[in-house]
Amino acid sequence: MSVLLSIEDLHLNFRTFWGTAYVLDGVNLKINRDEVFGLVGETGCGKSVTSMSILRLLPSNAELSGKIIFEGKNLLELSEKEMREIRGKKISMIFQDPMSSLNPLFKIKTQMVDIIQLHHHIDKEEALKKAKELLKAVNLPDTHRILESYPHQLSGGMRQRIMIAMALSFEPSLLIADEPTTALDVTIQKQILNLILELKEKYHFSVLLITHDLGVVAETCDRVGVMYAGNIVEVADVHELFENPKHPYTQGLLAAIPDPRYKKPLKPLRGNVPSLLNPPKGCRFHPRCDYAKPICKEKKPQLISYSENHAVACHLFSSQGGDIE
Amino acid sequence: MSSEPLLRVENLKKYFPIKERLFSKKVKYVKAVDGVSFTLQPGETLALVGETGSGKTTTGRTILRLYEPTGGKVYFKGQEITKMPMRKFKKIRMKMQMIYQDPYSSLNPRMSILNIIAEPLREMKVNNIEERVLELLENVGLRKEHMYKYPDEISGGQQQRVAIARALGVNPEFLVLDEPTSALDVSVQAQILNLLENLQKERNFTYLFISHDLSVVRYISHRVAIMYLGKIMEIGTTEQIFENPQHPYTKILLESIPIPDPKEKRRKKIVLPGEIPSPLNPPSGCPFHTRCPYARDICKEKEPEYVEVEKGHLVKCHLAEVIK
Repeated sequence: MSVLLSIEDLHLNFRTFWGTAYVLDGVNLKINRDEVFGLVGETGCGKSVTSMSILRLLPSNAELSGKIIFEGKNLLELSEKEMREIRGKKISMIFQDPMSSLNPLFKIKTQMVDIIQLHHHIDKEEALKKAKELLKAVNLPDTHRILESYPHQLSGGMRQRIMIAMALSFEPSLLIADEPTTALDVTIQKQILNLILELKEKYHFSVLLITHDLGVVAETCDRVGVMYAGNIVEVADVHELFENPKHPYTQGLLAAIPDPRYKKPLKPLRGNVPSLLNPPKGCRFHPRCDYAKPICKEKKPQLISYSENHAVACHLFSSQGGDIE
Repeated sequence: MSSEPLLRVENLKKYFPIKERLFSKKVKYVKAVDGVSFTLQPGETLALVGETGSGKTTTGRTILRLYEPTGGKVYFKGQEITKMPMRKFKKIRMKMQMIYQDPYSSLNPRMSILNIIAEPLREMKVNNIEERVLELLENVGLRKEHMYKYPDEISGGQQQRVAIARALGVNPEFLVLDEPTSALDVSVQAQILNLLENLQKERNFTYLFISHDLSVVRYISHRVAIMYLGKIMEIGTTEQIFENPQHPYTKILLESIPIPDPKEKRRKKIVLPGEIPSPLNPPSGCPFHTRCPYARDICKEKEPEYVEVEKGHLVKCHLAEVIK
C-alpha cells in the first residue's frame, strides 16, 4: 500500500488575546491510497484543525510547523498559487453543515457551474452537463429540479449529497469529510456514509473521516487515529482498535459509549479536557489517567509501534509490546 | 399497570397554522403532533424517539403547556391539566420541569450560577438560599467554587449539571429531558446519563426522555415510543422494541444505528430510502407508506389502528395485523 499523505511532527499554535494556545503538539499520521482513515476525538482535540492545516485554511494568527507531504510535495512549502491547484482539485473537503457551505442566494445550478468552470476550462453548456452527471453519481436523479432549487428548498441529506458532488468534480485523490453526518438523522446518515464508500470504490480516492462517533468509525473506517488534546494517542487498524485498545484514553472512550445492542454500565472518564492555553506537562492525558506514573508528568510519550498496524503514545508501553503494568 | 399513572396523555394534538402568503386567508396546518397517547408510571422513563420533524419535542412541550394543545387531554396524577386555568396550573407545573438540549442557551449568561439556581427558590420563599444552592450543586456533582462563576466559565457538561440542579430546586416529580446529552461529548454524556439515572433511583423521578440517539435510549429508558410524522408508530418496553421490533420503520431505524463494533460491518443492512415527508402534506393512509419497503395498497388508503402484539407492545401497522 502506498502512502498518499503523511503528516510529520505537525505543530500548530494560535496566538490569542489570552496567550498562545498549543493546539497541535507534534501530530504524526499517514493516510494510504484507497483507504478510509478515521480521526476521532472529543471537542477541541484538534481533529478539525488538522484537516484545515492540510488545506492550509487557517486564520492569520496561526503558526504552523512540521511537514505535510502529499503526493511527494510538502504542502507547507507551496506558494499560495500552487496551493490553489491542490485545494478542491487534489484534496476536496465536505463539512458538517452543508447549509453554511452553500450560498443561500444562488441556485444550485449557478454554484455548481461556477465550481466546475473554475478549474476545468469549459463553457457553461458543458459544465452544466458535467453537473448533471455528478448529481446522478450521488443518487440525485431529479437533476433538473435540484439545479433550479435554492439551498433552503432542499433537505439536509440532499444538500450534503450536492456538497459531495461538488467535491468530486475534479476527481480528487483525497476527500476530507469533517463530521459529514453529524447534522443528519440516522437513516440519512446511513445513506450518506454508504454513498461515500460507494463513490470511493468507483473513483478510487482516500477518505479522511473526522468524527466523534465511534459507531460511525467502526462501520466505515479501515484505520483509525485517536486524538486527545492536540496529540495522536493511538493509531490502529479498526478491528485492532476496538478489540485491543491500548491507550487509557481510548479505553476510557470505549467504556463511556452506550451500545445499542444491549445495556452495559457506562464508565465516564473523570475530569475535563485541559485548556490548550496551559496544557499539562508531559503526557497531556496524565491528569485524567488512572495509570499515570511519575514519568507521565515529565516526559511526553512518543508514538511507538506496538505491533504491526498498531501504534500508541503512552509510557506504559515499550516498543517491544509491553502491557499496562 | 396497577397503580395510578403519574401522567396520562390521551389523543394529544398540536397543529400549527401556516399562511400560504402574508395576507391570504387560507390557512394550512402543520400537524406536528397528531393523536399521541401514552401513560407514564411513577419512577419510569419513557423515551420518545424519532427523526427531525417527527414531533417528539413538540409533544414534550405541549404536555407542559409551553404550547397550548389543539386537542386531546393530559392528566397529571389523575388531574386534567390541559384546560386548567393558568393560575391553578402553575402550582402543578412546578412538579414538571424541563431540561433542554443546549445548556448554554438555557442559562442566563449575565447571572452567576448561584443566582441561576436561586431564582426559583426565591420565588418559593425558601430560607437559607445559599445553603440550599450548595446542597443542590452537590447533588449534581458540582462544588462550592462553581457557585460564583458564570455560565461561560464552566464546561458544557457542567452547564447541563447546573440546569439539572435548577430543576431539582423546586422538588419536581416529572422531568421532560429534551436531548439532554446531544450537545455533549461522549465521556461527558456518560457522566450526565449516570447522574440522571442515580437521581431517578434516589427520588423516584419520572422521565420523558426525548432523543434521536437509540444507543442512549437503550441505556436509559424502560419503555420506548417510536414517532413518525406526529404519530406514535410503535410503543413497548425497551426489550420489546429492541429485541422484537414489529413496525418496519422501527426495524429500519434500529438497523441504521452505527454500532461501535467493526465486526458488525460485514452484516448486510437495509438502508431506508428517501426522507421524512413534510408534515404540511403528510401522506394519506399510513404516514410511513412512502418509504416502507413492505407497503401494500391498503397502506396508501387506510390509516392503520394500533394492534397489541404483546402485553404493552402496540404497533400501528397493517402488516402487524396480518402477522397476528
